[in-house]
Amino acid sequence: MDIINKPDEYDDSSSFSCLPDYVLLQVISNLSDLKTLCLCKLVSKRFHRIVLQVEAISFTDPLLVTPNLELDTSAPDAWLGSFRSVISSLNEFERVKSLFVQFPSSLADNDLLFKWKITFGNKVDSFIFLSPNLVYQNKELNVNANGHEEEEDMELWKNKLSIGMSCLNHATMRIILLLHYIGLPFLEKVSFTDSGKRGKVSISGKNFAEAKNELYSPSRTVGDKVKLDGRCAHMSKCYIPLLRLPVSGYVMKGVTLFLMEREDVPHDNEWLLKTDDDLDNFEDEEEAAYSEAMKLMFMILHRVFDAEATIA
Amino acid sequence: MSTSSSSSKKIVLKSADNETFEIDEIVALESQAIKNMIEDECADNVIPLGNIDSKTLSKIIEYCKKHAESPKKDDNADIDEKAVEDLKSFDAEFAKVDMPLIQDILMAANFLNIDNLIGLMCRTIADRIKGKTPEEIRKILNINKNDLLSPEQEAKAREENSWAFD
Repeated sequence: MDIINKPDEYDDSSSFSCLPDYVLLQVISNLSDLKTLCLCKLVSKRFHRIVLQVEAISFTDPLLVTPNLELDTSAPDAWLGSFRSVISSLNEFERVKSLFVQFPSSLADNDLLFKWKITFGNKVDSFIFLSPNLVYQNKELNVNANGHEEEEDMELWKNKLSIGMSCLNHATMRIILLLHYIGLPFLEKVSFTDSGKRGKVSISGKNFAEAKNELYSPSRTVGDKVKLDGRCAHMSKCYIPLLRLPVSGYVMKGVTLFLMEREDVPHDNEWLLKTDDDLDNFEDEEEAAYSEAMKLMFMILHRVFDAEATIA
Repeated sequence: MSTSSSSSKKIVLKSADNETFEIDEIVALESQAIKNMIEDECADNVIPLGNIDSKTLSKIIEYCKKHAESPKKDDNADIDEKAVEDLKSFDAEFAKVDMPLIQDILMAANFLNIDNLIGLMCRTIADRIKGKTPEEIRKILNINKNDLLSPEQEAKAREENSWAFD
């Protein structure tokens, strides 16, 4: 104890020690990165106490590859790697209300253009996957000069479908694992984005505890319970040769959209059109264009279905 | 919106080292604490600020002047982007001072209740400790040595968060 009780060589009356705790918390709240926060905990006793009060944390999912949960839900250490230690550091921040998770993109080097979104309640509620063949900014394009396919290329379609499904599976596995290991009592909101900015998952607060309970109830495998499976999902598909986006000013060609929605939850056609602060905070125009395209095609798709229902 | 009119009401602030600063009332109103004092009519002609030195106070007045002159966000929806950019670059320049002064400004801004300035100083401090080791942060913020974790506590915390030290 001698070491730390030595006469102070610093100025004891430094402004920093005079700052009230809530101001220090405001300083630290600007640092949402989990690693940074863990380092800050070591600065001093006061830091240690106050850092643990932050309410928003962001971190990168340390799992580089998604494990196959169908085969094993007991999560052996071999593939969990540093995942457990990161999550156990995270679980110390008991007051956290929102989490922002970035995960490595498993299809980063794929040259197909696509973006996707998942909404997650206590299962995957909906999955939307949009993949245009080409994207233009309106001003540069003379659309008529370039011929476009009226019919969708079947090979390309299959390719898009398989990529879409693999995005859905990978993201679902990550969500399951995180829900399984995270034990934050006040957590209200989790959002995932992949590092290639191609995918976004939002988990709404009110369902978070429910989602966790669901995971712990006995059943065959965790994966089976949470995944959107064919029996209760409604899948629709839409292809548009040329899509003009009036708001963002973009034009997309050969646009394929897959939409999967659960049928066993109250159907809410408006889910995609709702404004979500986290998801609609676009970093670039192109992202906004993709989002606009998703909304537009979602509406087209639902109108088409309504029309067919009327005819039948 | 005219703030430069010479007929506007003046407020005098007096620093801890007895320097006086005469400023337009609208500038002083950037401080919620002074605003409350004026509204409650408990402000004399001279407002003494016994815990703020003149160096800090003049910085704070510089900040409040600039922000009082700029159009407020809620005034109208289409404020011109240039004004926003201008204020942003002012803030960035304003924060380029040494850490002791930043801490003094933050203390004073907290006392005077100037929300934007508190936010700016908090972000500035956060930016300066981002990516630094605990040792570096202690040095930057001049952390009191009596407040360090015990060697045992520190070793335990390092062990538990070892992934963060890679």
